[in-house]
Amino acid sequence: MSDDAQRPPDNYPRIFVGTGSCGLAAGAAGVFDAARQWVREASQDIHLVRTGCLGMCHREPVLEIHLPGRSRVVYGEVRAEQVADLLTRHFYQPELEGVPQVVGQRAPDHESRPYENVPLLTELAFFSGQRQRLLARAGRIDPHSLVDYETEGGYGGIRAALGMKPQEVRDRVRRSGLSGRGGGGFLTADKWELAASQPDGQRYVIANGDEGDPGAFSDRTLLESDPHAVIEGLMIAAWATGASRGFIYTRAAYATVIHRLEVALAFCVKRGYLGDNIFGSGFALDIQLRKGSGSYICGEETALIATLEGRPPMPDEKPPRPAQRGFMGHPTVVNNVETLACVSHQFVTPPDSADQADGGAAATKLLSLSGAIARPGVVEVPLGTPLRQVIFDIGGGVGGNGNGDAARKFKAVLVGGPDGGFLPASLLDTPVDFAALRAVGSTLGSGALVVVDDTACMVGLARYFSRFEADASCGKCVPCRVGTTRLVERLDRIVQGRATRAELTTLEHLCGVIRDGSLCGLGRAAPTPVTTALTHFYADFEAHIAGHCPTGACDREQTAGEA
Amino acid sequence: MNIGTNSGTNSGTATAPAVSLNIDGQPVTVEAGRTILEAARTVGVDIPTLCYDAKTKPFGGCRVCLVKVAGSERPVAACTTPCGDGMVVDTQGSRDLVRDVLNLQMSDHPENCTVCAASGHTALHDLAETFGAAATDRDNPFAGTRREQAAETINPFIVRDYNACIQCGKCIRVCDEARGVVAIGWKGGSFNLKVTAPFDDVLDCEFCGHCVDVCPTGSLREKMAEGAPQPDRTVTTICGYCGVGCGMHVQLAGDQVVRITPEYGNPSNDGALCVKGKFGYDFIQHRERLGVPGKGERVTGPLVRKNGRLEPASWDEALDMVGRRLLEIRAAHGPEAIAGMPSAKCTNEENYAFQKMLRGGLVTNHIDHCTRLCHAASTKGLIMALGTGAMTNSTDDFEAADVIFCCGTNTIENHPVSALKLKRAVRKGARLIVADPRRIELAEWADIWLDLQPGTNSALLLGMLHVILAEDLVDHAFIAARTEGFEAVRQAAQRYTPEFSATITGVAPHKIMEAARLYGRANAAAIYNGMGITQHISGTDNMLCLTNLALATGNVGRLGTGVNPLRGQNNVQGSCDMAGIPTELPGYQLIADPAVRAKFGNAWGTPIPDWIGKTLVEITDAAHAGEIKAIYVLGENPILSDPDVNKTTEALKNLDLLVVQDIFLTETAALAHVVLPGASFLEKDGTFTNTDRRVQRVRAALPTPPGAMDDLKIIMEVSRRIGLTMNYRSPEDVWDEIRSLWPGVAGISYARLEQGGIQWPCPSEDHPGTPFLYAETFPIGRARFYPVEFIPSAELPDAEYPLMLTTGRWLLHYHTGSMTRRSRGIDEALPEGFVEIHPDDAERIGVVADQPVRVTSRRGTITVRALVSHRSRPGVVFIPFHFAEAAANALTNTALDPKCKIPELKVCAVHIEAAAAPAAKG
Repeated sequence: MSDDAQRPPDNYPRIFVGTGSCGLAAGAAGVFDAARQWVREASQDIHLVRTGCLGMCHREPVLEIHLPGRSRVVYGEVRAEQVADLLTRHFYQPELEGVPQVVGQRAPDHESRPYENVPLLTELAFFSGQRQRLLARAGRIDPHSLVDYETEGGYGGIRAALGMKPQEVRDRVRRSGLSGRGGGGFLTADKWELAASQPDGQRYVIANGDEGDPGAFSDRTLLESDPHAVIEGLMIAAWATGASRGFIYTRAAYATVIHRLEVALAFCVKRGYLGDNIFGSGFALDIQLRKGSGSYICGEETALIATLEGRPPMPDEKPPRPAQRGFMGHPTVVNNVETLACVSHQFVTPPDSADQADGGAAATKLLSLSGAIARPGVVEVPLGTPLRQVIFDIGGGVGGNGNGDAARKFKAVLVGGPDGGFLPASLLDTPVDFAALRAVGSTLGSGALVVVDDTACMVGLARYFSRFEADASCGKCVPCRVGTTRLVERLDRIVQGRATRAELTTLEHLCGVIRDGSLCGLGRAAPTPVTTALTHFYADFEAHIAGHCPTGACDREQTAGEA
Repeated sequence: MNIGTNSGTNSGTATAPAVSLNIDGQPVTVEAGRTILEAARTVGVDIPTLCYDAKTKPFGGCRVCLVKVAGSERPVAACTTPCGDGMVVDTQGSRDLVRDVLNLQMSDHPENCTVCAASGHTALHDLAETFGAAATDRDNPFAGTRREQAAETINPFIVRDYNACIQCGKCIRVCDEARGVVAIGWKGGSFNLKVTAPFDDVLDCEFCGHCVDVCPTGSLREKMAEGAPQPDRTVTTICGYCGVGCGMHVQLAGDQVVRITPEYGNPSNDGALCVKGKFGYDFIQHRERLGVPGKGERVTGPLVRKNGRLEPASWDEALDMVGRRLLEIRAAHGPEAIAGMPSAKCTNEENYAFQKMLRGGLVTNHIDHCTRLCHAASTKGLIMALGTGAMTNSTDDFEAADVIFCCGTNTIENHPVSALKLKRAVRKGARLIVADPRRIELAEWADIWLDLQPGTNSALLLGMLHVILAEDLVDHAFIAARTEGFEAVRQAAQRYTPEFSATITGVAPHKIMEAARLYGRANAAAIYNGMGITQHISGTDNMLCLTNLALATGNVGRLGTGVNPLRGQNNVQGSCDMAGIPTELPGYQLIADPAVRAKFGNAWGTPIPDWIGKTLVEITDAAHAGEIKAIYVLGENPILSDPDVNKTTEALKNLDLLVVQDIFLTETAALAHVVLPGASFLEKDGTFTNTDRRVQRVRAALPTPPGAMDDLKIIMEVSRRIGLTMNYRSPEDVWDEIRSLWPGVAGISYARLEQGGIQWPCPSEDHPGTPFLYAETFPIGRARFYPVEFIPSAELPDAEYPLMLTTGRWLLHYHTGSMTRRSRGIDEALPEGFVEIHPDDAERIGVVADQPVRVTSRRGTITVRALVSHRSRPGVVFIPFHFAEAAANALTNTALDPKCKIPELKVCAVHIEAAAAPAAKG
């Protein structure tokens, strides 16, 4: 655990190792150990820091070196056995040209000197299309450190908010136009206002970090890289709505997230940033960390509350909304962690024009890029950026070191998790925007973009994601519980070439019953992979009815299944 | 249970604003927060439901209540969606979608649904038909594979056939929200979501059967109804077990009981029963039932003792013998040699006729029954302090009180259905104080558990009163206006500081203080008591401590207050009301009053004896001494229920005539000279009065067995033979006579009872009945305080008998077990008795769980299995008195409370030793 009390002086050389989940999966622990070994043997004082992820999952493990007076250099795809040589060379023979692991250098400040012939990160295609606000600190700072966070203005937002009346805070969030980043896209201010207007004075705030969509990992990156931003956002939400207790709810499987939140919260409590009299304002807030109950549905706010209360993870019908009757029957604001990071950001760095406000043209959204894409990772783009630009310019298009193959063509992208369904190439000019995606039958949802290349069969994929939805169904309501299983059974018949054309009609009908009859958003969106596949890739279904899989993927899968 | 009408003070009811909406063209106005479903039902619009239960929070899972709301992009569930002002609802607009939902449901429900045993009688099947959903897979567009979830049939009561389950969750919700038990829950999710007991194990719960009663499919079924024909009629009557007085529907196929279901709307139980009421009725068909023809050892009619053996006899022979011998004994020894024990299990009418026969016909006042053993102290204390020997308030008041003080009542086990009101009140925020030596389940629900040493009630209550006086939590205005004798009580309580009280009771002083403050500061505080208060030589004093507390704080005469002894038997209130006690005539009219004797004498055309009769234990003592020569027992089993089994047995053997009128050859009947087979509660017509003073109509569901006789008829036959002719054509005739002689029930007619029970006093036909007493006045003018001093129990542990024994009941069984031990399921669930012993004591004695132990007191020895448990405190053991072969009352003390003659059944000293090596665990 890094403790600010034992923090070395700022003029020490610093080595950063990205030890977020993606880094650890790529071997960052070995890289860190090797760096520590090298530091021990080095004849000078060096500050070795664990950081989160700067978003370049495709270059993990990432190691950065910051020598006093020089710009900070990012190395990628570093193997543990290369660390010693790499550090020695950087510290003692600072000639970086031609070093394959060099990714780029961060922009130097006025006191430091850049390296020759090393690109700035912002010049890289991966970063040049992004606009990083929430990710600005990701991978750069020590996620635990209050000093690091406060140096960047952190906890200035809550201080500013405490100087305002709760109504003024809510009004300012309303003016920002901030809408929920968790998928619903509702105006955050509406939710807060609804909770604040309830006569019941016992209110709660919950940060929802129960990220469950396949291909979604931006919440994880945010919480691992910059947990204080979420905590501060939750504090502001609590002040604005009159809540005295808060929860941060995240997946039990996110071990690194849990550890970083535990440490960050402990520091806050130790410093009195959380407690009975925050910053001497008289504002009292207790925030507790809760691990999710492991079920996909726990990310749905009413199911999340159910598990907090000790009930099984099943959603309740809305209305009444949690802001009216939530945790233990009291008004409860549930905000996605990204939404809360937006809140803290706008109070730390007040938007100076409507353009920069969260609903404005320059507002950003975190996206997780994965699947058959050249540069998988977490990116932050201005709302309105066309999907094509995200996938091709930032993500590098189909192929690369993702699961895809550079020779293949783009076929579809799954947007916002299974709930958003598939969009074909013809819709790639759709902007990343809540309304625009809804208009084409999709959703921005969790911000996951899973790219599919032309080796994939859309019937097979629709079946795969239907199976996911059927398994994820909590079982509470009939249309989702029985309907999703029936969906899988019918798709099985199509995949196996046993279905008739008439069954496609029944399939569509079944999708309609699930969509219209289900209790919660998960159920209502469960048929989306099928309906969007039917809409945009009907030919794949027709081919199956005619007896063959157009890509052979289904045949291969069945052969593998039989083997 | 009056969820809607409860005006509880603990919920701080504010009148919600109204919203107006339109449902299917009809304007509707309801209070804000009501759901569309609730609003629709107020105007008679029927929206179908499967998962909805009015007793629980709405679920919204079955999706058959989907309706269209103008402006909403998708259909909404009527059961969960709150009404909005100006909302326009079309309940028919989603019919196609609902049909498809039902098609999906049926695709995962057994295809033979339409021909299963429950066909045509389940909500699911009816709805599928109404909506034209597919009955077979061939017609079902969504047909597919079905879940395979094995049925469970090995628990004693409930078939759990989960292939027929539609996962509506009603069972889980009622188990939690209506019962507070949480014996079942969800396992897994998605398609294979399953209702299970913990760890998917065999169901092992209270077996109240509530889940079965609400199941909308044939998934949960009564094991007893398996293979039974479809019921063809239903009779609504009152349960024959405890004093709660649950309304029940008896479903019959011919003369066979198929199942029993709870009555909704009856304020006593409103849709709930307990294991005994739901499943414990089969004793009426037990092979040992008297008067039922059949093979083997059956007793098919009356028995008369000849040459020392009970031999079959004709009814005429038996009845003639009873009449002749009673007259002979009276002639030889006088009426004082004859005693009668009426029955808290029989109807008001039967009890009235029985005591009339004894008083008017045989001219004896030696009449007493098991009420003496339970609540003699309650009635005595309440009559002394307040004027009437009954609950001041009702069990409904659990939900009207801010603070509930349960003192010596194991309500959850002994009054399980009333306890539901208590549990709900606690969940809604009422505070609960429980005084009980054992860590009973109720203690787990309490804010404060006062874990007193048995027999120290008065010291505890005096300690609480001391705090209330010291901190001036008294209601001075109430004391001044409505009571007398306060000063003496103030002085008596002076030395009972919490610290002093703690030295006697073992309860920590701070807990005594907290309890006193909680009770003293409440707006409405209600006391409920059971036999933990009464069955002591200080029973009446304990009761007076309770009335002192209530009077000092002004907690009498208002909703949610009072002092409320929860009565044990189905009609023990009624058998007392009907003067099954030595000192009074029906309606608590004193025998000592010549005007009262004249009134009854004139009505009956007989003299009324003016002397005071003996109480229960005094009667057996007199029989033991040879003073009483004949006892006529109506449906009682004193050998097991009275203290000191050996002495009671000797006393009964000493009689010249013992007549027992019962449905089984009980331990008492086995000693009789004449046994007269009577009718069970399901064969009775008349009225029971429950613990709330609520008179309720009892209707015969079955005919009396051929060899048995209706109890009223038996009494009339015997009465005629001793020279007092009764000409009742029906129980209603008897009741009308009661009404004419007791003004308290003058307004209660059988015709009115058809609309539901009525709580006495009800002096006229336009009187609604009385939920709580003493709103304006006390029958004795001013209520009275009585100073009380702590008296230790008569027999305390010593070196020879180092453990204290306390006795009581266990949820599954009832009293002496004559009914429940002959119920197959209940017997299977708990076949034998036990002694509950703290692990420390068990270790010291050297016994382990389930090992047989010998328990010995100065009066007897029994051998019983050890139940090692933390429920009992160290030094105190507990034995339920349901089991004849391990009779707790072989051990108990006959010492009596001098004021009301209740025996000290709750405290005696015993010695325990291992009886055999521990049995190998199977």
